[in-house]
Amino acid sequence: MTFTSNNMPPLDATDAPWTDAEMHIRETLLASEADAPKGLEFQVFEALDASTPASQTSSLLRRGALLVASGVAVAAFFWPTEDVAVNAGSTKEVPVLAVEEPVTTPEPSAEASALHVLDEEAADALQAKGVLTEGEVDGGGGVSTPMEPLDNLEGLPTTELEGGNDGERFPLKSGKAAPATERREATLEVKQ
Amino acid sequence: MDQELKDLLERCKAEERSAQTALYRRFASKVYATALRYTDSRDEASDIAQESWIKVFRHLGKFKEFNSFEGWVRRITVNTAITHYRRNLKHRYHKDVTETLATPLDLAASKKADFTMSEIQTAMAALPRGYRTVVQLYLVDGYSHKEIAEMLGVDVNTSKSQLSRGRKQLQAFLAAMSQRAKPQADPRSNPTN
Repeated sequence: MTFTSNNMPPLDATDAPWTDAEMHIRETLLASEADAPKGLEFQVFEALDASTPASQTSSLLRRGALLVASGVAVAAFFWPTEDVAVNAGSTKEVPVLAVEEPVTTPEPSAEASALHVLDEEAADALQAKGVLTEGEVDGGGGVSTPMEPLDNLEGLPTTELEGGNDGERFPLKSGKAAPATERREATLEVKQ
Repeated sequence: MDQELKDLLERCKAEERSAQTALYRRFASKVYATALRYTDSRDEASDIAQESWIKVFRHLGKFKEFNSFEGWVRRITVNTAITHYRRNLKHRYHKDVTETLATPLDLAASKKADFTMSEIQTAMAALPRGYRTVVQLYLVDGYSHKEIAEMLGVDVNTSKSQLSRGRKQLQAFLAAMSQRAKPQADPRSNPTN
């Protein structure tokens, strides 16, 4: 291939144009060959072989690190679920207690109105002592009123409320179940 | 690209040693010659060539077939040579800044285009290494001043001025060689590489 000024690198306007000698130099040097030293081929492939295991090792290390990282990520993903499960497990005992309530306290319907009045009195007394909240008193319900425990949710950490399923609420109900039991005892005293 | 080279490259990508050896033998003299252009010593040229070949084999998957394989290999070799050049720059600095003044010779004689390879190599070797590097990168290997500036870590104007000065010195050396060659009968009767 013969080089001309057309396929030579561009020059600034202030530069002298390429000479024939320079074009010839470019052509000659680009086409030049030189015998490589005899030992170079061996050195190249020896170095290539030496570098390959290293790269394989590093790729193995990379894969191992990736596996560990993904394991940590999976564990981190399931960790909150396990937490909820623990909470749910602890709350599962409470619904059992909550279920016991209707069983142990089937009040006769005839006594309900009388008990309601008595409840109010007892509730006033308890409220005066600060045991019952206003919600519990105005709830209009008897001992087995389901709205009562829901009011007790006030003041609980929002993290638990945001937890998700309804199962999480059970412990909150059971946590305040004790005052209802106290109220029943007061009713019995009035009967005597 | 011819089919034989394509097949060879495919086998090299599969890390077939016989294909790698064949590829090496096909382009070894080109790679070594390119490395020699950018250095003063054969040992350093061997190091550059060795590094370049390892890069070629490792990055063969990145080579696009529509490009010239020889050009791709040359760019890898030039880049490797420049890395060596920059690494050794401190040791060569004093040599580079020693300006070789062009003697008032018949510069018209330098414009002839029938220098032998040996003469060209002699003239190029006579250039300070900084000038020679820029002249090689711009004139021979076709890099732009912007690319040269990035490769060498210098300003674009430095690249331009080095090219300008390098060209003047090169022409002066060629002219001197021409004048010395005049009395001889036929100095290029036996051109050598």
